[in-house]
Amino acid sequence: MLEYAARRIAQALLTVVVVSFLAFSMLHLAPGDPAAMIGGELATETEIAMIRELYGLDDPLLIQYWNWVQRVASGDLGSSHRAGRPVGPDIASAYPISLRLASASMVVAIVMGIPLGILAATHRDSSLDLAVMGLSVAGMSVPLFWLALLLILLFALQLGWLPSSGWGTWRHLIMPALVTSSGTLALLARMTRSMMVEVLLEDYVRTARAKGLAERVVQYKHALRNAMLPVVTVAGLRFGALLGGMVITETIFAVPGIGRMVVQGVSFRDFPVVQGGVLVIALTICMVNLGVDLLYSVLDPRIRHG
Amino acid sequence: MSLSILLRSKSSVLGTAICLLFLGAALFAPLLAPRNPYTQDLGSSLRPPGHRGYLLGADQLGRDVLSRILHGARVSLCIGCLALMFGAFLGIPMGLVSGYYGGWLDSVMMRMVDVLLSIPRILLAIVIVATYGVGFWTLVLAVGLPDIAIFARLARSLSLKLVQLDYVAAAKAMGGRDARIMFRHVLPGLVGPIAVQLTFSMAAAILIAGSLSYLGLGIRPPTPEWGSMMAQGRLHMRSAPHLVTYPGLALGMSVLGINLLGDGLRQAIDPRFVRRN
Repeated sequence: MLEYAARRIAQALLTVVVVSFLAFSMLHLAPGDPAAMIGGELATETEIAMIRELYGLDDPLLIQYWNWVQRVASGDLGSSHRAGRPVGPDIASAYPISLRLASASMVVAIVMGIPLGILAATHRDSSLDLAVMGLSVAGMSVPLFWLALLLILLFALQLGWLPSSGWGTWRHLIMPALVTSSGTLALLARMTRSMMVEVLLEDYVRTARAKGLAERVVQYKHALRNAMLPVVTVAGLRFGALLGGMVITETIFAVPGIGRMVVQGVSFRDFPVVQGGVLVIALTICMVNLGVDLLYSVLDPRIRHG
Repeated sequence: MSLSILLRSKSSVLGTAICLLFLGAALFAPLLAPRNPYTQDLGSSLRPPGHRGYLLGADQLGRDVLSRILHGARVSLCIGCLALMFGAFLGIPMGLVSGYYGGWLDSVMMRMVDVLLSIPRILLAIVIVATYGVGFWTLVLAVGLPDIAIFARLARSLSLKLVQLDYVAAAKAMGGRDARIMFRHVLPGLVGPIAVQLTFSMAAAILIAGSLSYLGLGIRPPTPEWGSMMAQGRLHMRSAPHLVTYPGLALGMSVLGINLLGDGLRQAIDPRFVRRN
């Protein structure tokens, strides 16, 4: 167990290093002079020279990276060119919003996806099964931004039930959470169904039936429990994709989270904002994936010996 | 692999039909489109569908939505194909070499692949666009880069198994050069699963390209691209919802069709499905 945990943590650290290096080197890979980009369009020659000096842009790349990591670790993510203020506090205020939206989406996906999958499995080959699976395929193909716009069209513009954008009350949360969850919801429904179908064919389920247990007890007490393990893992590992999707939903619904911050940062080529945002999102995903993997290995000993 | 299985399931027939429709639209857009997708006619601005020959209506500049959707299929197909070529041409040889030689090379490559795949696609794409600026080739790079990892992992896991087979051992014993064995004897064994992955990757590529264009980070107006058409249409959504619904429908349908075709292909090449059905 310890060996597995150590290996898995080392892998997560490697990912963090690579991702942070990617985020760091954006500025250097970009065409043009990094100092001029930090200074912005209005910077004079002397200012650019000062920036070069200040940021140590003439040092070897790895030394620059190390210095940057140290600055970031101490909470200094640089200043936004556009807003002219440090990025750190902005991220600190946007992060909880994104986290709340992500958790809400995950809850929606689990609370709706798993029961739908169970229904489809227990009514296998019925029209209900067909409908759930059809919706699931559609859910994985529909572009998030289109779904978002359709919901806005229906619930905000036509019916006027929900606000079309913004943040603050629980009513603002409904549409973004629903849209962000759609892909994961569809996947969970599909997975739950196929796991249930498989488990329901196992010997111990037949035994349970043979000893006269009610079908309901067999399905929910015996089958469901064993079908759930992989489903829960997938739910955890989908967290990354969910955060990726939030980049889109936050932009469409004007939710002031990290995702929208990053998109705006890219549009204005505001590198510190993009770097900070990407770093925070990637770190979060790494931590969640690590947690899920370790938890799974505790629950299912086969993993760590595999 | 039997194509009859592909035609046995209703969903893969539907998928194939949608794909053909999409392909036809892309190839023959100039012939099919009733109007020039760039020609503006401010007098017809925001015209609803079916009005005066505008089958799917006109956009804010009076351009024909149907013509723009048909030409949009071209743009999406083009980006999808280029991104796939980029990903597959780099990823497959990487995976092949990795699986064939194994050892430290394999470990290093697979760790790289793990890292690349742990970053959400859209986020990686955004980082690339942030770095190189908005443009056609940036979009191709942004969309195709994760595919390198996907194809490398697939080719590696498949060639690991194939390398242990007798005919590969025989080729080695006969003194065949490594490169020749890899491409003549191992690669053909990968074709089926790679074809399946190509379809799924195509669907993902079209979806990501559309999303980036919607965010203003992909194809820019006035080029007819579904995502950017929707972004512009959003401003007029209340009075002209057709500017959002139809391009989105085109995007969603083509992604769905390609995914269904991929599912069908997977069942066609996987003997386990034959038994189960």
